[in-house]
Amino acid sequence: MVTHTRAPLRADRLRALNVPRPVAVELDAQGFPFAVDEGDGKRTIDEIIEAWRIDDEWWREPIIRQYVEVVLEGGGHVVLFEDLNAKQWYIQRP
Amino acid sequence: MYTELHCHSAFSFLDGTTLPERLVLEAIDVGYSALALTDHNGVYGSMAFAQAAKDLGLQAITGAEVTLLDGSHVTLLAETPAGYANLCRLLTEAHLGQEDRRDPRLDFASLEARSEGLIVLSGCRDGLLPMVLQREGLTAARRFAERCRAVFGRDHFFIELQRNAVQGDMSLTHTLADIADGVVGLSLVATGDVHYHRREGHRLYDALVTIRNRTTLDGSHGVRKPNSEFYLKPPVAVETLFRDRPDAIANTQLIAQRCRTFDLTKDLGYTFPDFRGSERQTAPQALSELSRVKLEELYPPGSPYRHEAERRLEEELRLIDHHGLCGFFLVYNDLFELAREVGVDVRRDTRRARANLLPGRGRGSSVSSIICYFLGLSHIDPVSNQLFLGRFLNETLASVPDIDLDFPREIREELIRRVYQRYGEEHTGLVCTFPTYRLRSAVRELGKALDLPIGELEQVAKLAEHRSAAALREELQKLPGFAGKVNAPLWRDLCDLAEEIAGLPRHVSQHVGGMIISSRPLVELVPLERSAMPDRVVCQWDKDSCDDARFIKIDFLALGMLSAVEECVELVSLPHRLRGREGL
Repeated sequence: MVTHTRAPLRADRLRALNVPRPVAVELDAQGFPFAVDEGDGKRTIDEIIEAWRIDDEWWREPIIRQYVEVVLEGGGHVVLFEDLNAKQWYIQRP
Repeated sequence: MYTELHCHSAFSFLDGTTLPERLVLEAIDVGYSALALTDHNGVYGSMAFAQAAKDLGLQAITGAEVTLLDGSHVTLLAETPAGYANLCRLLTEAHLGQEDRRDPRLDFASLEARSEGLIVLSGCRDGLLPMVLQREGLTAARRFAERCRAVFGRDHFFIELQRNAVQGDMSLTHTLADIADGVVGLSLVATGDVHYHRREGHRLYDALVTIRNRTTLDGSHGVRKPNSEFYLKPPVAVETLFRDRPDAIANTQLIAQRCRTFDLTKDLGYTFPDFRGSERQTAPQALSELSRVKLEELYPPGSPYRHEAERRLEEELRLIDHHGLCGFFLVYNDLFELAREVGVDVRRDTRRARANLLPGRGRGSSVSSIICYFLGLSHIDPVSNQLFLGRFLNETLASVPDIDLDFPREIREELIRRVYQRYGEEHTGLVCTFPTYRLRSAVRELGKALDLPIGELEQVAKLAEHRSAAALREELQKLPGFAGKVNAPLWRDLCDLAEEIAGLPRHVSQHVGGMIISSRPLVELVPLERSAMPDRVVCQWDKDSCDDARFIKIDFLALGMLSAVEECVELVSLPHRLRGREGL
């Protein structure tokens, strides 16, 4: 068991992890991501590992996302998702 | 072309949002030529589905998704009439073999023993094979697949692949495909695990899953499906999803073709039991003989109604013979004789025993029949009362005439038990009903799922209990303090969902008195399950499906007033000095 540090909890020290970042995504003819560009140059996608979709919270602020887990050229392993409400792609770590 | 072989309707009770008839329309709209209905542990909607499909030229495949003892699922499709009979027996065993009637489960050994004529698919993500894979690993899953191949045969066991854009689908389907490819002779089949007919249906589906788990939408992330991909996709869309495994698509068509051997609308083979004494004489002879004895007794020579009674009897015997219903009336006669025995036994040692009361009495159109009068099914003389026969019996009768019999409660209870004893438990079952969502139930259950304030929900629920759930928006606008909520967040969702849920079946209940008796074991024609009332067994079809199956439904109705009459007769016959003690 981890010993309590007795340090006070501070809400201002909470931070979100793995925040998705907007990214430009180029699609192939079948609608799958072909290349990504975070502003530092286009990188093609070597492999699509998995694709899935989320539909949730429709009774509040609907979340509709199409996820794709990919390997980028050079070996980067990332998750891309398109917010289907905003038609905006994001990138984050798997 | 792809055929959907794994599809749930609203008769999966809180795990499907679409009525079978609507599924048929949608299937035709999106381009299917065949569709399987595989509701959880039952064929409740299969007859309605098959009838609707037949009318519109769609091939209906009958099946079910059965829960095994370990909680895993297996999809069973009826390939032949024998397969359908086995499916019914297996479903019955799943229901009657469990202590908790709401948690049907089947022993895999029973499936192994009774798989003839069935096509077995390995199930959804919670299926037979995926569960072994998840719990015990790849080697165990391979061994299990080999066992299934050995037990069911390579032509009757298929590994089911589903791609509903769920995280993990791709790796699971690849592993399952590897198992099939590695285990010689096992084939793959693609299925869609459909729970609603259109994508928009996922909202109601989420709400139903939430209701089933007695939680709120916010608290049900773990049990809801993650997306809206469980709808009836056009065949071409599924073919695209499985473009890497065209064999899995081709096998759906192959299975559909094989299942053409069985058509639920015409291959049931139901027959009504024979009357007592059928080995000695034919039904027309027996009915004629029985009726003529009663004619002499009730309209003796010299009776002013004799001539008319004779004419009427001839006419009825002709009509009954014309429709092939002599045996039907004689079985009714047997049942009424049984009711007389029950009446004597129930009233034994009471003062009523001396009152010569009938065990029960007929009502409705059957009282216009002189033969019903002769058999004791009616106590009204149709000749002296000049009752018109045509409503009960005529030349162009479309279905078996309805004979409703009313009994005092205690006689009815015992009579139902005796019918089970006489015809056998496998040959007898009560007809079920499916209570549907109305305004009150919809508001309470959907409202709780949306986490709306209970007090406000109760106010709304109480306002119009008999109205359709679809009328909620209109009702809210009339209710002081609620008109403004119609377009408010959550309340708007409640109104939308109430419209969609209106008329969907909520659960299985027991018909007021309908009973089915079959010469062939009923348990091979429709699955049986326990009713909420002890010692009662209901079949999985309501009266409409029983009609479509051409089952003959016998109505034993309980009439409280007859019970009151019995009690009155008892009290009146008490010596005068005792009546005071009884509060009279």
